[in-house]
Amino acid sequence: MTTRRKVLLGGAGVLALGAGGLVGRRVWLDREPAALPATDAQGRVVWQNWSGLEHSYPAQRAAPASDAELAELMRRAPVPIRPVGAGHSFTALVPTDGTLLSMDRMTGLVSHDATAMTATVRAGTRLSALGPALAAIGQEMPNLPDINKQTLAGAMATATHGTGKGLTALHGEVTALKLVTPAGEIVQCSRDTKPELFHSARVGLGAFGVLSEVTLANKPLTRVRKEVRLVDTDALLKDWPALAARRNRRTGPPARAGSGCRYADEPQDAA
Amino acid sequence: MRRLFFALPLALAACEAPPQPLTPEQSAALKPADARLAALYESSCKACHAVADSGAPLTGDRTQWDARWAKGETVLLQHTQVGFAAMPAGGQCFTCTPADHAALIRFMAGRAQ
Ligand SMILES: Cc1cc2nc3c(=O)[nH]c(=O)nc-3n(C[C@H](O)[C@H](O)[C@H](O)COP(=O)(O)OP(=O)(O)OC[C@H]3O[C@@H](n4cnc5c(N)ncnc54)[C@H](O)[C@@H]3O)c2cc1C
Repeated sequence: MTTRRKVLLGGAGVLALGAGGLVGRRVWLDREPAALPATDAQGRVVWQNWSGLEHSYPAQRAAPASDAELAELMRRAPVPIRPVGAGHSFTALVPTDGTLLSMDRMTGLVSHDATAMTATVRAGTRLSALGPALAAIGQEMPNLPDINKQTLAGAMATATHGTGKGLTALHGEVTALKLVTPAGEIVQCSRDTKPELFHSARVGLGAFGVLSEVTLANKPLTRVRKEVRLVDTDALLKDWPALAARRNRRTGPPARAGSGCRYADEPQDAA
Repeated sequence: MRRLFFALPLALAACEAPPQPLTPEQSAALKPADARLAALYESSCKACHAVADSGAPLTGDRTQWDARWAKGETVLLQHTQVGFAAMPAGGQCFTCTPADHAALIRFMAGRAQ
């Protein structure tokens, strides 16, 4: 005999199966992709970006140490030649079957002008190394992204930015570039010299030659007090107009219902 | 005699001092003796393997490395090349050859180079 209990239990069973099926589907869709073969049929070693979403098996890997070496590579290396920084970009900008060109050997400070507050830096310099190098000459970049693993050229190439009222993305603080074209020419450009190339190459996605040096307009080194506070959402929203008017205020996702994180980076005295 | 022959290496192994954990500062001070490898290490592996909270085993800290080393160098190299857990493929060293990766693993695992 079909009782109410049996019907309910049966219904619950169907629901449980359905829910289990949905969860199972999600788990299946979100599963880690199978690891790629370390080498392809020609023995080429795999390259993957940071997220693992993009990969390729480059025929050649190159790491020039000077402009002259870079120019020579641009003329002769197997194409397509794709510059790579720290491989932290998410889209298929870097994968190549030709030459993967790393700037890891073209790093460090080239020169600086203490009066103009500018510094010329090799394009492969990681942001993590750039901060201390600039601090040593009393300078700092006006804005930074939330991690410091990127190279300067790689970060600029995708308009990497931080946050803060009135602050530009990283390429906004660039005054001049040295780049090497696919033909192997070494070209200097700035807002005044070859401005079209300059503006295209600042956020060039690695498609306007390979940057070798970047001149940054910096600011004097300052001490910044960082404050992170958990505040009530209503209070946060009430304060919002005042917060938004301040230079470097931002908010983060609520750590728990009814609250939000408020971050404040307040410039203090000169360091 | 046979017993003595087998017992001796065991006794010697028992005499070897157990590995001690390193502080992040001690780990960060280590670098490969070879200048080219050192440059590769500084621009890639070190970003995580000398940082305590990154989840990566600290360079030179055999209390963290020995269990991994026991998997065998071939497995560790394979993991490095294709990525493993939080480590991106190639360990962020895009110009490392397989031999470079193998040498860097040996160095970080606290094995003589
Ligand atoms: C964990 C994480 C956090 C991030 N946080 C932020 C953030 O806060 N803000 C933000 O805006 N973005 C952020 N990003 C995105 C990241 O900043 C960009 O993807 C950036 O482009 C990565 O720099 P890279 O050095 O890794 O360059 P890659 O990914 O290696 O390359 C990026 C592009 O630059 C080109 N390139 C590299 N070197 C040169 C060169 N010398 N000359 C010409 N072109 C070159 C490449 O060909 C490619 O087109 C984040 C990414 C990750 C993974």
